[in-house]
Amino acid sequence: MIFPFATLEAKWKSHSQRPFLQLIKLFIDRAFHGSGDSESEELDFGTGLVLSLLALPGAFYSILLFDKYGSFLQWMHGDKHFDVLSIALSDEYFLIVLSMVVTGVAVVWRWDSIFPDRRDYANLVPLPISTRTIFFANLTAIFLVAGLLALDVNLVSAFLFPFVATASQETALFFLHFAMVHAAVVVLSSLFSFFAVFGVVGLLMSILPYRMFRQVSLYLRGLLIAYLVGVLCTSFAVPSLVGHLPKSPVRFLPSVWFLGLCQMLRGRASPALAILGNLGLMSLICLVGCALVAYAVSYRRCFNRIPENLDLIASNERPIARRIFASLDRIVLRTPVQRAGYRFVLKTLFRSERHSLVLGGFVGLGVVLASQFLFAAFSGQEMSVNAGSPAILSIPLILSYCVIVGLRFAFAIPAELRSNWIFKLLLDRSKPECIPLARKVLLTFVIPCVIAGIVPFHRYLGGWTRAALHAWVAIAWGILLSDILLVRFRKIPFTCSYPPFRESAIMLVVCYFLGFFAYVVLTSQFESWALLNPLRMLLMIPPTLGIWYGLSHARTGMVEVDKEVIFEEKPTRGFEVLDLQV
Amino acid sequence: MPEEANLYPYLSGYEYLEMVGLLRGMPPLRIKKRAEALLELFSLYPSRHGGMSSYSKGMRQRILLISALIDDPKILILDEPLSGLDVTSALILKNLIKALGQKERAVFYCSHVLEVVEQVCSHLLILRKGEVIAHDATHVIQSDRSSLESRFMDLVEAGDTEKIARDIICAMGEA
Repeated sequence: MIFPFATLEAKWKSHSQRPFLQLIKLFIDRAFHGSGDSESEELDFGTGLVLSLLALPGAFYSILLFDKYGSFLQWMHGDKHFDVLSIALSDEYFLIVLSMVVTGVAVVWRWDSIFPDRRDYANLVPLPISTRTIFFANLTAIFLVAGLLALDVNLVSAFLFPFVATASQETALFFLHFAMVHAAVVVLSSLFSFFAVFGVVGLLMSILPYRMFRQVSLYLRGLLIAYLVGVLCTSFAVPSLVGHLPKSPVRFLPSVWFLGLCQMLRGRASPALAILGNLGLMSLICLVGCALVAYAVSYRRCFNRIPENLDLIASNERPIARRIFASLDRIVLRTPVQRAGYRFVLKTLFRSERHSLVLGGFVGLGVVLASQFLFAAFSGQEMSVNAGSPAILSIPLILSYCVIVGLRFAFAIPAELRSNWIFKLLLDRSKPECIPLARKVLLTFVIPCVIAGIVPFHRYLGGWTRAALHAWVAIAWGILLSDILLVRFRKIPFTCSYPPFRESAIMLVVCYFLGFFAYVVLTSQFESWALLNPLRMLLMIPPTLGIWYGLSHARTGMVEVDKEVIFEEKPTRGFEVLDLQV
Repeated sequence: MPEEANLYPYLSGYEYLEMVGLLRGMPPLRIKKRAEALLELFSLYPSRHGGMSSYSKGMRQRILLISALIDDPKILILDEPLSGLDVTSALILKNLIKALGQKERAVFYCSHVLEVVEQVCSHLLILRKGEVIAHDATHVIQSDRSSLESRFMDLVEAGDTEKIARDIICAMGEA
């Protein structure tokens, strides 16, 4: 008997053309691609790449655990009969937090795309589709996106982490049980995070006037991101506090509730953890219910009033931003092109979803790596013992590396090519302003954060000398990395067509890995050794000067035509005809 | 000022003008003063901090015009500046061009709308397939004709446009 594939395909085709399914597809697409305001012909990241980026942190973390759970290494450490479930508790907690954070950040990111907007209203209301159908289609899309996010964020780690953690165990049953419990808990925690943010949006839209919602929205998003990053960065400390339950304040953290659920399903929960596990499950059910009610009310309230809100989209001027730019104009930005370019770059970077997604991805990766290093440094020990350890010293280097590389990568992505005429018209192409501008953008992101983060922290842990030396190394290395990445840079960021990424992708990834190794691992190891006797820091000066000399030599050796500003990136060719005939 | 209002969607109208002013080397205080005054005059002041992605075509066109005027240029090149403008803004622009002419500013006005050209231009240069076919004061080129349009038809030796219009109607009626 032949299975009727053709009939099924035809049936699916006719079924998928129904308005309800088309609407669901539209809303899901919008959740991933945004409202497409820019009308540009540029590269779209695509759903596949977005999903891959979201799955990356969990996958990366799981790979880093090979070292910890390797049975040979455990044997070398003298642990012949180690308890996987006890050892895995801290990593389990971190992965729960990670799944909540990645999902939460993704929902905060797509905050504006959850509800139908003006464009939807203009396109859908004139069609013969009832508002009830639009409502249910949007609701279904939200559920599908929630499920997709929860699965995607944990897809790789749900398989890889149990595989790594139980590699030393002999029974497949143990692996299966471990994996299923882990998968269930991280997916549920992802859903919790999704519906928590979704519920907050719905609640705010239900109770606040539209104009106030728009104003509050920005601050609340910032607050939520700060909370999520804070939870991620402190996740190394929480597992040790779980033993102090039920009195410990960590009982208020939803991530601990899901850790309780995990331990409950594994039959390892203390009474306090079991109560928190039940609380996690109950709160998820309540949260979904509340979020749905808030959504229904806000939908009814907002969707029908969209035409009245047309004139309320203008935002306010921000005096703080104006003051910051004025200060930068006086101190850092020396020429009119730098002043104009700096404003353009910063505003585009934070407002363009494409660019902020790329930067956010790199920063997120940096935060995950830094958390892992922090976790390794403080795990079960007093803070002062490990203060000069390579792991602690590497944290600002990891973050600055990811920020600088992320920004440099984002600079190559065009914003709106058709609008570049203004730069083409007003820029003097022979004046090399691109590198100073790009360098200043990179360094104004890194140097203030390095100073604000490192100096007080290391002053507290090891005194002024250590703080100053560590800050000096981080700043000097940041400047050198920026200069290395900008050696042949001759574009105003975001104004040039795409470089041939595909041709050099593998080489680029290899370079990033090697760069990370040199910038973070080698430097922090050296610094840890050198800080024992600060005079050893002088050994850093010759390589720093050597790299700096090499870079300036490379720049002066460039012919003038290679310094001119470009707006079109030509693909590199295997050969070129020189046309030497007279 | 180009015909197509291609502007960066991630900037607000005010931010775009600030960027253009800085690129032209204007001091920030002067940019602020001029931009606010011009935005007010072109009825864009209330929406100056809104993203340009939400602007209508006419609003973008007015932003382009302000960006061209912001540093008080000696020479102004306008390519179809009325495209997308509302009636009031179009009237303002026509009067502005005349006023700029009186203020001894050179305005190159490129357009296919001959009624407007007739009203605002003191001199004309007519191109046909890249060749200059007429170049003189407007009243000289216009000579004794009632409108610039009819004189233009003589110069470019176009066919009978009324007949072509009738033929189109016939073609539309055919099966």
